[in-house]
Amino acid sequence: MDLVLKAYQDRPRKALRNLMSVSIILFLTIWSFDSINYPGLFSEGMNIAKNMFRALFNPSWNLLWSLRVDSIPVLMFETLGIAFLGTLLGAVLSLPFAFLSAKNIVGKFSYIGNTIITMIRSFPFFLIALMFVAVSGPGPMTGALTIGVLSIGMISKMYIEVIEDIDSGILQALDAMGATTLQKIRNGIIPQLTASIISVVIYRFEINVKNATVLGIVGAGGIGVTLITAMNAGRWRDAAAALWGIIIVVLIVDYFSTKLRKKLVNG
Amino acid sequence: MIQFQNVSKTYPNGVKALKHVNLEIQPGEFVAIIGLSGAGKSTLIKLVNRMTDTTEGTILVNGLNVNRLAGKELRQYRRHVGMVFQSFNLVNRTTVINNVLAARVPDMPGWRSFLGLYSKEDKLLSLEALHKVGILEKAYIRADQLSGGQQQRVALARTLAQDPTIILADEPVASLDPITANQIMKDFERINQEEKITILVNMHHVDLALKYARRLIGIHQGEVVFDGVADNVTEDILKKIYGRDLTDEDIMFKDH
Amino acid sequence: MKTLCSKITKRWKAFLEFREKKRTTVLADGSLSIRPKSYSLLYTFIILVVFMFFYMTIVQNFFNYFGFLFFLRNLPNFFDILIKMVTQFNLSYLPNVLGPMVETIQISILGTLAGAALSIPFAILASQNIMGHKNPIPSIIKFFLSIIRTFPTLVYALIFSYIFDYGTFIGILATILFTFGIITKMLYEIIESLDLGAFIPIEATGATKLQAFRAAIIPQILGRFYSVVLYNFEINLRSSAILGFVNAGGIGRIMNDQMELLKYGNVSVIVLSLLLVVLIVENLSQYLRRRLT
Ligand SMILES: Nc1ncnc2c1ncn2[C@@H]1O[C@H](COP(=O)(O)OP(=O)(O)OP(=O)(O)O)[C@@H](O)[C@H]1O
Ligand SMILES: [Mg+2]
Repeated sequence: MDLVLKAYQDRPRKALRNLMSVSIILFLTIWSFDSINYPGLFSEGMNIAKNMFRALFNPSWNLLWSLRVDSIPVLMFETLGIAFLGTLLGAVLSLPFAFLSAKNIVGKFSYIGNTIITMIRSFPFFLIALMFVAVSGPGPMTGALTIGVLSIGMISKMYIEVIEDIDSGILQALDAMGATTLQKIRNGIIPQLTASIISVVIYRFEINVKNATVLGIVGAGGIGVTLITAMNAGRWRDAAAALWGIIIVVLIVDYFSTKLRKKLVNG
Repeated sequence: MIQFQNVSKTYPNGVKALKHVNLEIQPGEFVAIIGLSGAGKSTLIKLVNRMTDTTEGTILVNGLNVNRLAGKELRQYRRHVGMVFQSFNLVNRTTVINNVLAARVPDMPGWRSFLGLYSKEDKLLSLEALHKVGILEKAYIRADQLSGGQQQRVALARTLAQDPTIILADEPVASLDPITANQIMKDFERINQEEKITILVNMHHVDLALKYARRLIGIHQGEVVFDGVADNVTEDILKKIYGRDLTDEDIMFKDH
Repeated sequence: MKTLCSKITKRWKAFLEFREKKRTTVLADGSLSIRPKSYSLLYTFIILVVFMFFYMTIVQNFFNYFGFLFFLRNLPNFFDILIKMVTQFNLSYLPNVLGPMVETIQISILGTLAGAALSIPFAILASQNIMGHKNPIPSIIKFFLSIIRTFPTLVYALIFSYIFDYGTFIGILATILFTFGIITKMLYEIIESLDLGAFIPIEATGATKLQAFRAAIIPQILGRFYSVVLYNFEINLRSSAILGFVNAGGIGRIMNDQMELLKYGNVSVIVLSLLLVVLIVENLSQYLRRRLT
């Protein structure tokens, strides 16, 4: 009986911790509520919402089913192109960043590269896009450059994980075999990295397709241009067609990306 | 022939791993090195292919002073000495055949090896090596989809593809189950007999060592305390090597 | 016509045979080794073609339209902006940043919490192992979730900005929707990977699905759920920073304004304070997540 009583007294006391967590969250919530200054609907707001909703089920079919320069399929192709080129650019640019920030390569100096990567990651991407508009004018080229720079942060972070995961046993084996440093890199490191790196890049492509859909809002090409101009003009059915274009393409890309990555990891 | 002449090894942290070792190993011998953990078995093996440096004495392999080798000469020497590790050390994410082909890389022209363009002879040689260890049908499967025993066979095939005259093995069966361990040891035995390759293998398990090796070297705290034919090993000798009575841990098949 | 067809099939068969022979190796003792078909060359080719295609339509078009000189002439502009951001750094702008920054944080907090709360019932409904093997509801919900996830927060904010008047409300709504899509998915993936050992006996005692969930599942997933919420908070903080571009409140609004006014010194103050907040939140969240798992 004593033992039971003792066990009861020794029970982990989480009450205080839980109470504190709950009150912090509660406080944050209430504090945040303060920010909602509900502005109310636009006078037309309810009507617009209704029209939008209706348009969603009756989009502009002639935009969806045509291959004119401003049709949805063509623009979605452009969006895919922006994402594709941007991802490739980011994948290449990330390589030096990652190798110069991996702990097992540069040792304790890794924090320098890591800080730079975090800074790139935190740079709001609209700002990057606006800066590139100044260089390459409005258009898909700006989109591709933006996506490229934007991707560096995440891709190199994931590269670093892959690189730090390298199994060094194989390097020892190659050493015992009489391989040179270059041969060790080529036959010991690269085969370990390729599958993971390709998988990272595919994953980022999936995200970039979504990102590329909004780049048009700052004039960087792709489907976003149509979306925002149609909405500004109140052409809800055209906007709905663009939304459907995004949905279909993103779902397809998601599906294949997941499948491919699974295959890469499991062989 | 491998000759240890008064070889000592002191690690930079002051640990004396080997003390005044004198050995002579003839071509084609199958030698097992046994001893407690920390006795210096790995060190002894690593000295042969210069994965670590001798601090005193000389090691001659076929008359070649191993200590003096460096750079290209060392790499060329290592081509003749294969090494098998306890942890297999394969590239998991690529096929078995690619793992074996890696052994051909140092003999290829740089650009070819960089592009991964292996010649027909290299491919044949690698497939033959896989055939010798009995896993030819796994050639095009990714290495990480094999069992531990199969992976160790791939490692063995990779060593064979290197066409070595000596194979060093550092506890090649320590992480395998008893039955697989026996099969791998049989592979070693066959390779020793058919290819006339000298084999130097580190073992934890006395029974396996006695069963497969013809010569046994016992090390205790860095010193060779026994060197002789496996058949002559007695309880007393084992006690000397292990510094205590044998326990279950030293024997793989407990019911022996 | 018929002979032509048979000729082609014959050629094709011969070609396949030839490929088959090329993939076969005969060893010294006569045993065979057949290499499986490899598609890596085909994949490389496809990627190359896709690349060339997009390269022509985007990069090539750009240079045809603007010209290479335009690009070179304007490239300094990019660095010019960067340099101005450093040299014209204007710390006295900091007080103007505080208000919108707080707003951004508040949008993320409310959006994350509300989205997370909303996600719990839907995650349960979307878990096949809880709803039963043949129940169609999870598949339906998963389908709708994947549609919700196709849009970034900004697209939702854009849509709402035509319905509601300017302000944080739009940003919060958009963040909730986006967060809901992601957290529900992460949550049902966690639940579906669970061992339901305890769930069924509790249900068998006469408890409702919800009660059984409370008793058997929640203790198993609570830590990971918190971790998912924190992770989403990090994401939302970054994405709500740009919501201001569509009048959805927060720091993006002043960023847009100052950029248009070419006040790069002010922009860099905004960016730096955002970086600081993101770093603090990231470290805090990572610390908490490590403790939770
Ligand atoms: N790189 C090293 N640096 C410093 N000391 C080392 C190093 N490698 C081994 N030692 C020390 O040298 C001694 C012999 O080590 P060795 O690895 O040769 O033992 P072993 O017989 O192979 O043991 P085990 O059966 O555990 O593998 C040990 O005391 C070990 O701590
Ligand atoms: Mg050892």
